[in-house]
This record gives sequence, structure tokens and C-alpha cells, in this order.
Amino acid sequence: MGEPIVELHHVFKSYDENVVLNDIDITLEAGKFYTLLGPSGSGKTTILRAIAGFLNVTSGDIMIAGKRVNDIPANLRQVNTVFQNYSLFPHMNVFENIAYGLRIRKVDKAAIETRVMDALKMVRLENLANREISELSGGQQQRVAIARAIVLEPKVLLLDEPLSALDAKLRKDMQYELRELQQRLGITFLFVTHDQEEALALSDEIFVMNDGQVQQSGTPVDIYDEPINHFVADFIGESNIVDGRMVEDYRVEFNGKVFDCADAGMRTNEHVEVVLRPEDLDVVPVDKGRVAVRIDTQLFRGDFYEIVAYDDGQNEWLIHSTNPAPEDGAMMGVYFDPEDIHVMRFGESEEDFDARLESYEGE
Amino acid sequence: MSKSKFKWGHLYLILVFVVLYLPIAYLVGFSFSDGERMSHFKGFTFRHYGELFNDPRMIQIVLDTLLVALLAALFATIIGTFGAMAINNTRKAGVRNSILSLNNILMVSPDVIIGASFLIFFTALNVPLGFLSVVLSHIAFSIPIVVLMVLPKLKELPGSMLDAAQDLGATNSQVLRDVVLPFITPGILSGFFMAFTYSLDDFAVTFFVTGNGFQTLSVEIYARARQGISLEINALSGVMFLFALLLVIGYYFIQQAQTSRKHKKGGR
Amino acid sequence: MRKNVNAAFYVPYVLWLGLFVIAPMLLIFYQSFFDINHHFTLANYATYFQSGTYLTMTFNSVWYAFVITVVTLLISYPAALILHYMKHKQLWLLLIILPTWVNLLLKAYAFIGIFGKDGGINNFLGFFGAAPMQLLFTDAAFIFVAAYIEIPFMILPIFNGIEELDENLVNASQDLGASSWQTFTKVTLPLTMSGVKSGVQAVFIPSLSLFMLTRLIGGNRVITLGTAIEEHFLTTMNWGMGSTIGVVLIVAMVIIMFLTGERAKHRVKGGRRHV
Repeated sequence: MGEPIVELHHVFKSYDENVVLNDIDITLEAGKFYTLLGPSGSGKTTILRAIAGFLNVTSGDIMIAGKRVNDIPANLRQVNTVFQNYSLFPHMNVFENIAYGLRIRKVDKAAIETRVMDALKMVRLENLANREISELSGGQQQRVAIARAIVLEPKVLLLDEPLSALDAKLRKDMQYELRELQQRLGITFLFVTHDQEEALALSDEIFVMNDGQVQQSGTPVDIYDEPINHFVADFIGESNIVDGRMVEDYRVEFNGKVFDCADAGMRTNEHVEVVLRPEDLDVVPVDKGRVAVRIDTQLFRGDFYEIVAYDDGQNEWLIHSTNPAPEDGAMMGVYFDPEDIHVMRFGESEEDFDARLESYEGE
Repeated sequence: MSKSKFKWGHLYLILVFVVLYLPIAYLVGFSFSDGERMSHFKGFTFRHYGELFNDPRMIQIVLDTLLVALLAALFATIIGTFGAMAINNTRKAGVRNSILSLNNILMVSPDVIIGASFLIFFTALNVPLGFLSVVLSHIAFSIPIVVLMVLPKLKELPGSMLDAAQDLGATNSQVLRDVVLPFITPGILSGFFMAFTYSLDDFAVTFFVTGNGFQTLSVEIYARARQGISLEINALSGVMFLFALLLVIGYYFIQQAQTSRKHKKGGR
Repeated sequence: MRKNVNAAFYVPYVLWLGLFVIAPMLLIFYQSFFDINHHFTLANYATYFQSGTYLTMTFNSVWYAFVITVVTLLISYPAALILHYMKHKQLWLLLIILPTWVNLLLKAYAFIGIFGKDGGINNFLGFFGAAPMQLLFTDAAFIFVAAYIEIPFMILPIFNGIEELDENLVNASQDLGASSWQTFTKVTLPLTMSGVKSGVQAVFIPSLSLFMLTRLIGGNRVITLGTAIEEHFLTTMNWGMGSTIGVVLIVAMVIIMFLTGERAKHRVKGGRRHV
């Protein structure tokens, strides 16, 4: 465990009857890249604003570097924010925007000059110091916003959907840069996004949010491979989710058949959900498949074919295949390996989930 | 639109412009006439301008009018700007709309009503009619326009901009000084400008609340016009038209500066 | 957004609201219940509603305001529409606004010269052998000058309304087979109605209360509500009766505001108010 830099202990926030944060309990360690991932209204931006000091939580403690900061106003907290729409001051040029926080802190002139130029170098904009904000492209404004925040050397940098206003290509480039920047600076990043690909690509650790609660936290790989519940499985990546029954450890029944699987620790005959990722499925001749389906439609997506098919029970199967299916309406088989099956229990808490995984994976 | 229709349209528009400018041209034209009446142009002269600049009473009135306008604009701008902030900071939509409706009463009220009600008001409070009552009235009827000019700028100011300043360490007063005021400055300038011209142009309200001792230009012109035509007034028109032209050009540039900035932002 | 402005800053504005907006309105209402000797009375209202003179005057005043508004609207709508299709329209618009920045009294004064017995128009007609006519102090002159003064205040809101109209709607209408005239009556006009309403509001209310023009151009032949108020306040010193007429005027104003939509979205920006 690294040194905890931001801690939220049992944080609640409600407006009248409306609970937007429901018992948030998270710890951020120094020097890591964290992401709050969730649909809009899930409470992720609320957490960010609570840490930055733009709103007061209803109850619970917010700690920064071991000190409770609930009553410390935003301007005195050692965190800085990169805003969604950048919020650069239109009446100041690039240099002045970045220098603003330093001037407030009464840093002397020469030091301001060097620190601003260093920050600009960091975001590779050293030639644009004297530009007006209105003359910058979206990507450049984004970098200025980052420079303006990091020049103050915050312990934690909060980023509120900073890439959402950029077009797809620029977005990808900025993802690499953000990741690199975080590693170079070695400070903690807390990044808010609703884009699961972005979260998977950037983070050391992801908090998946829904309805004001953290649904699951973990490394991108853990969350993708072993989603805790229907919401997480559905929100992260694409999935086929079917109802099933746990016959015994490592044996699950769905679609009227019993399959070998890699999960254990459930009650016998427990009602469960089964997740199969589309890219783990292969289209094969009927006799070689585990489930027989009729191909409905297929779309060429560039790097794979997206195939929609239906089984006898009219369950939909989404398959990402490198090879096309022969033709629409053809009967084909779907093949998957036991380790491609992921079984989820209903209403399992994150703690229990982790404990159960621990219990049989250690064997 | 067909081509031929377009031409007729131009002709129509030209006609409208002729009607709009003819009286002004007529007025200014006769200021150079070497006669005493606004009929039969009698040859070119600057004589009436000479008379105007040697009329100490008129010069005093012009200076008084400018002083009233400056004071009114200054106070109206300060009060109106903070008023706009107050309205903008009011969270409850109902309260905000009520204040806005009250704010706009003086914008839509006929001038006679404003003049008459202020006259009753000053009399009830024993405020002497004259310079003070005129300045107070001008401040009063100029405040709403300042509010209406500043409020949209405040609405345009994104809340996250204030968050950003605070996030970077600014205190409330630093946020106001470094972010809010610079951002709404164009609105404040427009407000000051409009207040200034409202004051300069006002006749009816001043006519009601000024006593015998104090005159503004409008009231003086009214008095002289009822006595009969004097080409000194035409000379004054010439000077004032030039002044109005400068004011409009000034206003145009404030507006242009604002819109071009908006365009740049919109281009992103 | 937040508490970054000290409450003390608001005090002058709130004082202004109380002292110069609410108090005067209440005072004019209060004053309307007093006679010339400062005794409480309902006589002012009785006089107003019983004497034919006041009712006729009110009717005349409304009628003149109506005629002025209609004339102004008929001239302004086409002008605004044409203006919309002009190149450099912002510049043309500025030229429409410019005359409003010339002191109103001076414009009225100009018309005294133009309409005078040996003024511009009679001189011009004289070339064709027409005898000098009485132009000044006629109803027509009064309506013409009033309309002249109000035209920019009508053109501006209508122009803004047309500018806000999505050009694609006009294209769509034509695409669907409507003629230019059908497009105008079925699409352009209904969708620019809010601009027209603002313009009507901006012209009708001041027209009800014109008093300076009735004196200088109308030669006291035309008596409007505004003239009557001025006379009661500044000449006969019967403030009670003046206030009563003022209350009537305020009621008329509220009705107009109600009929034309309470908020004038397209209010003149850069144009001046009027007398």
C-alpha cells in the first residue's frame, strides 16, 4: 500500500429527498491514476466537486493528506481541477491564465516566469505563451487548462471529463499524453469519465459508479474480466448476459445445458447471471458449437464482424468474430471455453465478491 | 426573392432613409443660412455658430446637461451593476423574476408617469426641485438599462469559471476583481453609455422635476421652440448631431468588440 | 452564483427599487384620491368617468396611439424585411438607429420649420403654383411626426425577430410548394409576431402619453392623456386629477403589456427611449 493521499469516509450527499452520494468510501494512494467511471447522474462529478471543495457533503469525512478538509474552502485546498469546458479566463492570455494561481500565492516574478514556462513545456505549448485563449484550438485549450492546474504542484489533480469536448482522434492522442504526464509528474490523478474505453486505457484503478454508489473498484483487467454485477458487466464493454443456475462448483447451467466454468463458491442450485463477452465467442459449424443459433444480421466493423444471432429460446447472442458468418439466416454453432464463462451472483457486495474469489483462486 | 422585387425593395428602403434623415439635414442645413428663419436659404455663414458660442446661458446649460448626464451615468452604473449581480445571485426563480419585473417598470412606463410620480415623491420628501432632483431622477430611470446590459454578461459567465478561479486559490473578492468584473466589463461600458445618452436625451422627466432655476438642454430647446424659430437652435443641432454621431460610432465599436469576441468563441 | 458579492453592495439597488420604483407608483395611486385642497375624495374618479371631456380625450388618445402604431407598423415591417436581406445590414441598421440619438426636441423643432407657412414643404409646393397651406397644427402633421419618431423603435424589434427566424424554415416552405406570398403569410409573419408585438408595445405606450409633440406640432388641437397629465401637474396644479389620469394610463399600459406578451424580448438595444 502506498501512502493514502485522499480519503472519503462514509460520504453522503443529498439534495432534499434526492441522494446523490450514498456511503462513498474510497482511498486514493499517492502517485496513481484513478478513474471514476459511470453514466451521467451516477455521482462521479459530485465526488470530484466534493474533493475540490465546490460543494459541502451532507455527512462523512473528506481527508486530504491525512487532514480533514470538510471545512476548508476550495481556494485553500491542495488540489486543483481541470474543468470539463476548460474554464480558461477569456480576458487573460495563455501565460496569464497559467500564472494566475501563482500570482494569487504572491510568488515572485522571476519564479512565476520559470514555473509557467516549465508548465507550458510539460504540455508542449512553450511557443504559445502569448496567445489569446480565443486563438487556441480545443486541444490546445485543454493543455493550457492542464498546465494551469499542474503549475501549482497540487497533491492531487482532479480532471472532470476533460476530453469529452474533443474529437475522436484528438481524444486518443490526449489519452496517451495524460497517461505519460501523470507518470512524469508522479502526482495522483482522479479522472472522471463516462467513456469506459478511456477509463480502461488510462487507469491504474477504476471506480465504477452507479446511483451514487461505487459498484466495483479494481484494475481495468479485473473489472473487465470479473464484473461484480449486471450493471458493471453491461456498462463496461459489451456482454451477453443470460440467467443461469449454479449446479455445483465449476458447473453452471444455462440455455438448458450444463457447462464447465471457472467459478466457484456459490450455493448449490443458486440462481445466477452468466456473462459471455462477444469477443470470446466464435462462430463454428453447428455440430462443433456449444449453442446452436440462427444468424440474424452482421455488420463489418473494420477490425471484426459484429454478428447478431438468436438461439431456440429467442435469446440474443452478440458475437465479435474475425471471420464473417456464411449468410444471414444460416444455422451456426457458438463456441466458447470454460474460462470464457463468468458467473455473477445477485446482490453480492464487493467485499464478499473479493473474498469468494480469494477463496478458490488461491487453491 | 426575385431580382425585380429586390430593386423595389431598395427603393423603398432609400425612401425610408430619406424621410428619416430629411428633418435632420434640413435642420443642420439651415444652421449655415445667413437669415433668421428656417425658410429660403440665404447664403452660407457661420454666424449662428458664433452666436451659439457667445451665448453664456446656452453654454452653461450645455455644461449642466453634461454634468447631470455624467453623474447620472456614473451612479446608475455602479448601483445597476451590483443590482444585476444581486439578481443573478438570487437562487429562487420566482423572486428573481419579480425583481426583474420591478426593474423593468421604469423601462416601459411612459415618461409623463415617471415625471409626475417623481414630482409627487420629491415634494412628499421635501427634496428641493432643481439640480439634485434632476440628477436623482436621471440616476433612477437609468438604473434599469444598466441592469439589463450587465445581466446577460453575468449569465454568460460560466459558474465553472468562478470555480476555476477559486480552485487556483482566489478568495471571493479576488474572484470578483480578477474574473467577474473583467468578464462583464463590456456590459458595464454599454450600460454606462446607455445611461449617459438616456440622461442627455431626456425631456419629459426633467420637465416635471426641475424647478425654475435649473435647465437642461432639452427643456431649454422646448422653451425656445415655443417662442419661435431662432437659427441659433439650428447651430446647436449641428453641434449635437456631430456629438450624436461620435456617440453612435463609440457605441458601435463597443458592440463590435463584443460580437467579434463572441464569434471567435463560437468558432471553436 | 455564490456569495462573492457582499450583501452591502445590494443595498443601494434595493433602496432604489423601494424609493424610485415602488414608492412613486404607490404615491401616484394615493394622490389620485385627493382633491386640489388635499382632502380625501373619490371625486377625481367620478369626474373622470362622468365627464364626457375626459372620456372623449381618453378615446381620442387611444385612437391616435392606434393610428400612429398602425402607420408605423405598415412602414416598418417591409423596411425591416428588406433590411434583413441587405448586405452590410448591421451598418444599415446603425443608420436606422442614428436618428434616434438626435435629441427629440430638435427633430420636433425641425418639423416646425418644414411644416411652417413658409417652410420647406410649402416652398416646394409653391414651385408648382400651389398656395401655401396650413400644415403645422393639424392632425395629419401630428400623426406624421409621431410616426416619424417611432419608426426606428418599430423597425428594430421586428428586424431582430426576422433575424432570429431560421432561414431554413423559409426554404422549407418554398420547397413544399408555397409561393413567396404564402410563405410570408404562413411562415415568416407568424414566426416574427413576437417582434411585431414588442414593436407595438414600444410604440403604443409612449404614443398614449405624448405631450411635447401635441404642443409643438399638434398645436394643442390634439389632447392626449400625456398632455392632460402635464397640464394638471404643471399648469392647473390639480395633482389629484393628474394622478387619476396617470392611474388610467398605467392601467392602459398594463393591458397593452398583457395583450402583447408581458416581456418585450426584442426591446430596442442601442435605440433611445421617447417622450
